Amino acid sequence: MNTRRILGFCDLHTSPLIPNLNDRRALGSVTFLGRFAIMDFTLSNFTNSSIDTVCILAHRFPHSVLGHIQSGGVWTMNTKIGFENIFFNENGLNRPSWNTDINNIIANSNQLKNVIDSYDYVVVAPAHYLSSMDFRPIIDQHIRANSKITSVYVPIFDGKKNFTKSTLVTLNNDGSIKSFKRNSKIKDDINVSLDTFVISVDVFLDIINRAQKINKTFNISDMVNWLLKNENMRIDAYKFEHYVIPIMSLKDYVKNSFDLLKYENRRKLFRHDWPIYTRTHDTPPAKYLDNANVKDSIISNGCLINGRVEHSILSRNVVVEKGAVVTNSIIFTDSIIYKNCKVNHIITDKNVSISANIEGKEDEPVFVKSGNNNL
Amino acid sequence: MANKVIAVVLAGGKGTRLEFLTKKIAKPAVSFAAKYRIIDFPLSNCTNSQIPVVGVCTQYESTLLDSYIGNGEKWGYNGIHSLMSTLAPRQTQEGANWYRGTADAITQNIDWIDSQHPDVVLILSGDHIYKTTYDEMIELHRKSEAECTISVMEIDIKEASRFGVLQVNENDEIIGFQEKPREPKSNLVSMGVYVFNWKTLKKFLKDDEKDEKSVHDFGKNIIPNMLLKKRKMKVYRYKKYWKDVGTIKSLHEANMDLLNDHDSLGLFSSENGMIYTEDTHSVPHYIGRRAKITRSLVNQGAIILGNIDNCVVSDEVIVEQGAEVSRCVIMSGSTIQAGVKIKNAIIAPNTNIGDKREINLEGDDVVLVNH
Repeated sequence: MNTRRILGFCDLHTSPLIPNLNDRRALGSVTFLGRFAIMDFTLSNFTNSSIDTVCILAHRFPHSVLGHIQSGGVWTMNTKIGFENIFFNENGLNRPSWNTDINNIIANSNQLKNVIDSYDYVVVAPAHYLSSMDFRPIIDQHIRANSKITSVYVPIFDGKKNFTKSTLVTLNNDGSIKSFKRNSKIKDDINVSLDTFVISVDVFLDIINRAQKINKTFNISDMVNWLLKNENMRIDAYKFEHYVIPIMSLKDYVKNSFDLLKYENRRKLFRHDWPIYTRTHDTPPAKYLDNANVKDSIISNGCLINGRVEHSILSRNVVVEKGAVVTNSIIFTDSIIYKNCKVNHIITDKNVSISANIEGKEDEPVFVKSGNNNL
Repeated sequence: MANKVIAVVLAGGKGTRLEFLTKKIAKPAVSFAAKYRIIDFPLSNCTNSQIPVVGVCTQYESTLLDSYIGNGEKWGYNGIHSLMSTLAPRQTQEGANWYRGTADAITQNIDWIDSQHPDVVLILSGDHIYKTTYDEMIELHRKSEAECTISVMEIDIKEASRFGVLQVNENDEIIGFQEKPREPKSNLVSMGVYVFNWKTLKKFLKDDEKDEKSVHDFGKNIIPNMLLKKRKMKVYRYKKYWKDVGTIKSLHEANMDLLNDHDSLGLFSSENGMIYTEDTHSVPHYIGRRAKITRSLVNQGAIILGNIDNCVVSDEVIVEQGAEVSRCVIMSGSTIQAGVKIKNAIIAPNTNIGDKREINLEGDDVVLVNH
């Protein structure tokens, strides 16, 4: 059955650092749409693609990754055969510029060497692009074309304002990658690199080994770019033509979360045949009381609502008291909006108590941190 | 012998009075409170009481229940020194028998219980809704040096004839027992939650096994026999929420109880732990632009676009815009289409209600709707 053996890397090194949102946790561990963590999408894509051996490359705040993954059983089909491993490079703390995915793999290579030989292909995928991506057709193409590296991209049509912090790809006539470059926001029709690669295992080991000599600050994606530029290595491209959500800035996070209030967008991200797995917290269903008045909102389990909520997303165990009004806001787990408090265009951290009115702007939502009552 | 309590949950019943709901699944596996199955309650109570070993006797439609229980991981029973095991009737050297009664289900598993070396066995029913720990009851049992302790509720004496009724002396020792009596002598009714010294229970079970007239039932045989032999038996007075959800009416009523401002079951309280269950991997639920939702409990995965009031809504339920649903329990995967009006109903899982049907709008009795 397993004629091709695949190792997945969920690469958190290439995640952008978004002030406020991931000051204290990895971007991959940040809540999304009420109950998920951002990395659940990549991890579930591995699971649903029958890739059962996955290694998470933690960049910072490994406790937040470990806390979410725990024994990993949620994403693993068979816990004896499959595993979820978490790599973290302690040395990276002292030299942040060397805290790369490659150095992380090297730092943990005693473990890696034992296992890497038993794989034929490596899939590297970041956490910050959310999609329901089936890796199997990508691997199929990689094998069929006898590729060394296959890079996944998505064509988009609003590149001047969307995916603005992403890397773009240009293509040769034969469909292989011509170049990787930054989005300069001058064109709408662009091909966005999803920082997702299928790499044959010998090429992968070569990348890891040579990176030390070439540039110690290189991530895998930098090495792929270097090989293309300097050695003219053929990088094949795979066109992914489905819904992709970038989480590269707070603006992305807010806009794309609210986009998912629309059913047609939710259906594109959450397909019936492609469950997104996450850790359960055993919270009871949400409870609506007599004065609840809720419209156009996503509400998570454990919420207790006795006020007005509109065009908002509430994470687990959020309490909205009588007379309170929550509009155009994203409220994280365990927060409470006290009686008669009105908030508009805000995002709260976990465990925030709101006891005053707070008004943000659509393009500039107010971020309310934990342990901070009135801003 | 070291102190060790283990629990055995009786979950083999058919639950005929739940009609269609138990056509293909056992009563303990029936949905409750939008997210749970009934058996989650006693099993989570065991978790929260830190009882290390739990056996679950299954019989009617045991396959689904057995796979649901699995290794007990959902209730945390995959840890070291913990064990959850389903105990279905089986063929042995002595022959093959169905469980003939609640007591027989234990008798047929004497060897398994012995292998766990308990000094005290807690016998629970798999189809009761309550949230508690058994700590206080077990402590009372040990302190009073009783051989059996029965958990009781004080209820209106007019209701008592549906239950096992206990008479006690001034020390709360049991002096009389009536099983579903026409004329109850007291208002103390048994909850079907028993604590036994295993050695004593084993002796009575073995005697009962030989009794050809016995129906091998705790209420009808074991408890009366122990009384007859003047064994020391105590009651433990339970004061919190407890409900037997054996009928469509009582299942509906228990669901509606969840909607009161006061959380009488304690579902939202972390006191005595949480209730654990299977996760559905659903997206949190969505409430539409024109929806109206009051006094309701809604689980993840639901989409509410219409009006719901006093409803308990499970995962992957869709209530379309223009539907009006009131005092209903809507089970997993059902759709209420636009224009439908429905009141006082339990809607079975995966039921599609359309054609602008109007169901039970005048009726006060609860109806069951299924496909």
